[in-house]
Amino acid sequence: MQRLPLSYIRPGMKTFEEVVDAQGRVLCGKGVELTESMLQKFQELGVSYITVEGTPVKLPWEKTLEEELELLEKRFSGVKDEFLLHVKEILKEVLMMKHSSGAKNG
Amino acid sequence: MRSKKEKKEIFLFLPRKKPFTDWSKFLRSDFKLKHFYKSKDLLSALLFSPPQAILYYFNRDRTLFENLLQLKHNFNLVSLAIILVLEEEDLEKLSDDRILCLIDDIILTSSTPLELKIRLSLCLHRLTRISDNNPLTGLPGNVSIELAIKKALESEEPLAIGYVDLDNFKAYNDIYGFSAGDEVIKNLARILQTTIFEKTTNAFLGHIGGDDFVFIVPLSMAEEISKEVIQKFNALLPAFLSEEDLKRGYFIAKDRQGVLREIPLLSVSIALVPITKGKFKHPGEVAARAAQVKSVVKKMSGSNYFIDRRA
Amino acid sequence: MADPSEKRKEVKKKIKKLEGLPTLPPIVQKLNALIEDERSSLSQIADLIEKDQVITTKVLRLANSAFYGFPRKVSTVQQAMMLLGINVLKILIMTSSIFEIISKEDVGLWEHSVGVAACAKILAEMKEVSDPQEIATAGLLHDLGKVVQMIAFKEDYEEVKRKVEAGLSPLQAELEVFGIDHAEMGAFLMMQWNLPERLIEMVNSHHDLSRSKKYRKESSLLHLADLLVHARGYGETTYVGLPPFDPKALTILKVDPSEIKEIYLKLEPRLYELKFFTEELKREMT
Repeated sequence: MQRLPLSYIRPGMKTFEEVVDAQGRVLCGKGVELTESMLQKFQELGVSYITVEGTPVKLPWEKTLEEELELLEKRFSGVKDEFLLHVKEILKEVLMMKHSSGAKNG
Repeated sequence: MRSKKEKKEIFLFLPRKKPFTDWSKFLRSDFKLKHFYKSKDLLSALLFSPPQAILYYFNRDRTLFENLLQLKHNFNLVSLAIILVLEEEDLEKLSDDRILCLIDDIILTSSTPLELKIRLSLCLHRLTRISDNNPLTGLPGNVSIELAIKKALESEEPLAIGYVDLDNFKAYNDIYGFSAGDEVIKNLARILQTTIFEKTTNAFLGHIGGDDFVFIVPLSMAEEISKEVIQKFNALLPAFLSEEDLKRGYFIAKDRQGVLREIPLLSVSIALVPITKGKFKHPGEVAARAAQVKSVVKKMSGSNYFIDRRA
Repeated sequence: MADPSEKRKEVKKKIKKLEGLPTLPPIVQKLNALIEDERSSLSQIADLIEKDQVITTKVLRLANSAFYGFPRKVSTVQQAMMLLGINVLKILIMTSSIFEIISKEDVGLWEHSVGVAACAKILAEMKEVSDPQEIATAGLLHDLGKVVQMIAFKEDYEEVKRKVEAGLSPLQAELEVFGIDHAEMGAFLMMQWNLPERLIEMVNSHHDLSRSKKYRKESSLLHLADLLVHARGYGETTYVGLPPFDPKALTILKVDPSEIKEIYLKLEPRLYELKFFTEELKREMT
């Protein structure tokens, strides 16, 4: 699944989660194929993000797990403080969680 | 040591040629002058440190001129003198009432520097003399309010007159002091101004005095406007209260008998009186009806509005 | 090399005279488009403004202006908008200036600030610190001093960058070149512009907790948020590694190391969403 801003959504994409408006009201269920008119409506109602099935959009800024871990090591190079090393371990965990299930919504 | 009087500040938005350059030279001895040639710079300076007067060449940048008028209206900058500098042939373009009620004087390019200086000084004196506008908020006072209500009584369109005041304001002043009280009033005026005039230009807002305000709006918008004013006032109220009072949820102050009491925090009360043509003959009748509505609203705790539903 | 205390005075003098700060062109464009579109809501507009520290500061400056009698306590964009109204806001945006040229690393500052704002808000909600939106605003504004350096002290700013490249720590480089660090510079500007005390103290102490007196919890929060976002690598700043961290922040804020995971789990989705905005900015700037 992939969470995308409304401007990235195209007709034909299927919802993975319910679509909610700015007030938190549910506008549309999950597993629904989105149409042009639905997207227009969503825009008027102030919908910001929608989670869709699959990963239809390739986001150029997304990094692989290896890249992320490499950069993480660089940032923490020379660090010896106990708490900071703990933060590094947590970040490793979180990054691995993010990349594991194929989840693309953070 | 400052022994001489502070010079009044004038912004000039004039072309860089004669006769304006001569005018500048002449005014320099009596006023603090700032020259602007780009609209962005003028607007920016106006927003953050407005002068006492602006000399504006009518033919330069009409959009900027619109924005100037907008700001003057929006912030009720009654004491900001806007003087239009015109060529003789532009006089006929000035029949627009909307412009005329927001500028303070005009001066023709054919005027002499001395004439300009005298007119400018007269303008500034006149503005300090205007007594009808409330000195704290710049909003129209009782004379204008009475006129506006009279006009509303004759209107074909259904209107509503709203009477706004603050509950427990005396306690607030006693505890926080009059300066703080003044700030609350100024900010209530801001809230009324932005809420009303963002919804319609067909409206009136006046300041009777103290914490009493009057507004006139189309009937269809009256409740919506009241709700929004209340919501905004409640949202901003924490900025005016101390942490202790906020946590407690009430003031501790002496009542009129000198006894220490728990007094509810500041809230706003709005009494709405719908007006249709011929319903009331005289502003006094409206005020009497409003007083009855007001006594109902005041009994409700917190910020509230109430609309009179009687014929 | 000039005497640092002299340089400090000079810097403060120059900051006093600063009339405004520029921001990124795409932000002004988007904001104008949003304001012109009748369908946009006030909260959408506020939402966009809250991603830019320069316009946020401008809006807060006006809403706290002594001339108009505002209380010196308006600390969020929504509050400011209630007082200013949309018409004044339009004019305010009109008077915004933009960066003509800006380097890619410098654009990274916007991303970093938006990330710290998000992290600060999450921490405030978790630790029940009052007014999370105000805390988020402080997060957004914490590196305002760097924008001041970029615009009012271009050559000195380049020299700081050179010193950092040569191996000096960024804070040390700032002190050598300016006699004052970006935290203090930002706070000083905010004070000139009448912004609320709480925001100023938080910004001033975000690298040095000893500078905070009244708002120690909040300052510790901001200090931690800054560290966590740097550690995550969100947004580029002059730091290649991590800023110095004062562990006192953990005790003052009462954060246990075991809570860090929860913080990151809450932060990650937010950073993911914000990335769309900041990447678009970077694209439009090149």
